[in-house]
Amino acid sequence: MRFLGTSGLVAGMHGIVSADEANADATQTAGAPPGRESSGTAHPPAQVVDGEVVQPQRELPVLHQTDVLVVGAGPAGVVAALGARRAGAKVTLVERYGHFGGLWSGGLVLLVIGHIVTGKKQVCLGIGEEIMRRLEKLDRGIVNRKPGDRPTVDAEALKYMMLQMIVEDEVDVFLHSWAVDAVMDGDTVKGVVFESKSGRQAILADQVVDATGDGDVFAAAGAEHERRLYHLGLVSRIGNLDKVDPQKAKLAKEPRHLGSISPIKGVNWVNMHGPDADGVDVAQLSKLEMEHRRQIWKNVREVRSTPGYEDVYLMETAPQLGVRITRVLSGVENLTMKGVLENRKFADCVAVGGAWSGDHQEWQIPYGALLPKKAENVLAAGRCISGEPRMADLIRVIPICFVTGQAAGCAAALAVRDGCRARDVDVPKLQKLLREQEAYLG
Amino acid sequence: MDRNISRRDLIRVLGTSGLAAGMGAFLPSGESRADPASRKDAPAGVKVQGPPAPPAKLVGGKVIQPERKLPLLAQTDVLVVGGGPAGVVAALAAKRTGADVTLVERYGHFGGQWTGGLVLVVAGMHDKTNKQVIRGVGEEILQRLEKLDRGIINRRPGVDPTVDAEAVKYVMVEMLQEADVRVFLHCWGVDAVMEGDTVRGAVFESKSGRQAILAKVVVDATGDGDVFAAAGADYEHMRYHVGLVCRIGNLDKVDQDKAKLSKRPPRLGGPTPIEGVNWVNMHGPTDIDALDVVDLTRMEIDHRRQIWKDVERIRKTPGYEKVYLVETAPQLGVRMSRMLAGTGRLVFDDVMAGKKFPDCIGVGGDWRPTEQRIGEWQIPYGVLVPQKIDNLLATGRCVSGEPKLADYLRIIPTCFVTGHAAGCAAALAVQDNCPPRNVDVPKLQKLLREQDAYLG
Repeated sequence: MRFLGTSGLVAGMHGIVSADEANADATQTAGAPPGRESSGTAHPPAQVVDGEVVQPQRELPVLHQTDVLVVGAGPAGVVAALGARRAGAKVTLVERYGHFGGLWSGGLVLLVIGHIVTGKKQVCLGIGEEIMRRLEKLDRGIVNRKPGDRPTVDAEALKYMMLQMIVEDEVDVFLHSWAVDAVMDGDTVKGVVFESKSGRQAILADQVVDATGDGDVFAAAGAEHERRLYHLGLVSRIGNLDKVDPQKAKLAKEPRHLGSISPIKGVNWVNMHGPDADGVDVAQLSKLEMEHRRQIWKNVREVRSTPGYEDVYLMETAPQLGVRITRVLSGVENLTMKGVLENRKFADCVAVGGAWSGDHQEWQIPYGALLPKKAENVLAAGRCISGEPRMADLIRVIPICFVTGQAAGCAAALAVRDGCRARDVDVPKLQKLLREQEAYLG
Repeated sequence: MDRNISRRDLIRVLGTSGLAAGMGAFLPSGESRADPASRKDAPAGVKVQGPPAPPAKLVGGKVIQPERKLPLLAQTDVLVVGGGPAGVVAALAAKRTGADVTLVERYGHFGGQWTGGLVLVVAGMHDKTNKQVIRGVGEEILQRLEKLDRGIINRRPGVDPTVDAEAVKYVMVEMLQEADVRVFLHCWGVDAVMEGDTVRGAVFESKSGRQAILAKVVVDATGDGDVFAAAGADYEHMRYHVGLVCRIGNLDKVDQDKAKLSKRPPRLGGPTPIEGVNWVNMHGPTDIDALDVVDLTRMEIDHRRQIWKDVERIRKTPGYEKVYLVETAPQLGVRMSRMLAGTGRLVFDDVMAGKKFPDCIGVGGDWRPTEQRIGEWQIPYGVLVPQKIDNLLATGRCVSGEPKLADYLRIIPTCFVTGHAAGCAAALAVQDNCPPRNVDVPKLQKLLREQDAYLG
């Protein structure tokens, strides 16, 4: 197992609770291992100089080196990592949280829309479809998988399945690691800087896929982009909807905020639109987290005060705030609604998108929408690819994360294999590779 | 009863309640063509060219972070880093004592391991006489939880209660907003700001980039002592067991007739305020370095797989087929890492003997069954104070003590009381314009008692 010690260490590692089922966290303190003394800083800290805070120049340790570095393990990043790996590259996937799936799981998005077109034809295939197919094998992993349907996943099943796929394909992983800067050599991205409990470190790579959703890497690299406002919510799950007393409920008006079904009977996910906000402004993120939390509590209270609904409870507020759009790349090409409506075809089509309600035609995504105009060897994947404001709702959905992730991952792997810049990748070769990986390109 | 299908019904049927406004994509069946999902009033963006700050560079094979000035996110009297049980209590206490307080938290929720780590149980609130030894702000949080339906259970004398994580997160937001504490969420403390051996603030990473917050006193409530380590304080670095807690549901739907016929499956966990939902602890392997990102990653991966296996095993037991995995904790179950080398240090024998300290600023209990418990034990002020770094106090599990005391220092009640003490001490240091190590301890003790703390 090439990952830093997983399966070989799994057996016998677990210290699983003993047969008496002690659930409490008590342990025997007598056996606590002694500590190791440390003094002095690991690195010189920031200083106050003439009333200003100055970060000193210093050399950052290199944590790891790889061919393709995928930053962000949401739907785009996980698919990019798998695509790149299957195309033969050494791949490292880095994720801020402790779980895979990004907003799809951690943000409780759960629902998959935008992959179907008229005639119930599914146009987002490849690795994304593979994830959904594998979820079908788990009991209560996914529901609504008939042709033309819009499926809903269970977040825990998804986190588990993505982890299995990443480990099977021997992708190197670092969790609980937050990308905070790019490593540059002129205009060329050479890697990314991360913060973790191990401190600030760099991972060097030949090619970087920015699957952060917010374009954190391409922004740090100086790539031209737009910073946009969009409505920002917080999703939650409520339970015990299967315990609603139908006799009592009949007599009252159905409460609001009941949400939609999930694979778990009686458990619904409840969306929230939220106000327009700047999702890369920490003050706004903080304010909205707290406001939305209070609003959700109020909404659930309202449900529970409706006759028949007294047992309904707030199961979970999403650990990830519902940011929808923030930074959007200004790419070599830019997706427009006009292009969608006019059925525009691209010679360098590397991905295809569908319709929210399966009620209009498919539309194409050119390779150029993933490429910055100037910064080298960084590709955008997911919602932050290049598109005009009106395109946001078509681009930010899970299936587009799948297909642009797969395109970016494969392109990155090809660039490594052929020793060229990302923007010079041979597009017909890329398209052939994608088709071999079962992507649909129109 | 006939009624026209409303847009709300349609949205529910299509299962996308409120995903976008002004869509035009939702039309009654029968329309020939729809508009693609498009928010017509989507705000135009602001064009950005160039990096927000000079990036790191690769020079001669080395990665060099350039020197640069960091923008200020805020300036404050008391900066509390970490919004877990210690940090939230510290922030409230400092504010109530009169300081301007800023609380910064890495995740999007408050409560730290207590909520995000699904610890849930407030273990160790009582001593061998069943006296509840924690009061003050921590007890106040518990009382507020009692007012919520299904916020907390087992609030009986001598019994350690269990909370609902969502209820705690909500109560903490309420209390912080009522107290008007300035808060930054999704903001990770990554460095200290120093002037010689004096802490002047801390550096944070967030989606707004790298910024600093300047403060007169900093309270390190990170659990891992990230700030005191960055500031150059001495500490002990422990390796300890790391687990991952989860919740399982539908235990109230177990078919008891079928279940009677087989052996009870393992890993069913313990009750929560929600009927049928249990929390399931995990010890995890010992000797894990919780400051090693490789170890942390490995733990997350191994534990997630183990949890899935455990739940599958439960579901295969006759009668338990409906049981499901509700949630794996968003925070990995790190229990101990750095322990400050303070001007005072708690020693195991002293705790067992219930040694009294003149500078006692809090009292701890015991999480074991009543008959095994020790008597209340005292916490001296010095365990919060670094030996040579000024303007910084540690609180929560990373205060100064012998590794053998890990299970007494890391529990929620100890976080409450050390948080309360650190918050009051920090505010007093600001008020009296003195370094935290020189705070008048009798004054601090009087203040704590006024805020309902129990000091023995």
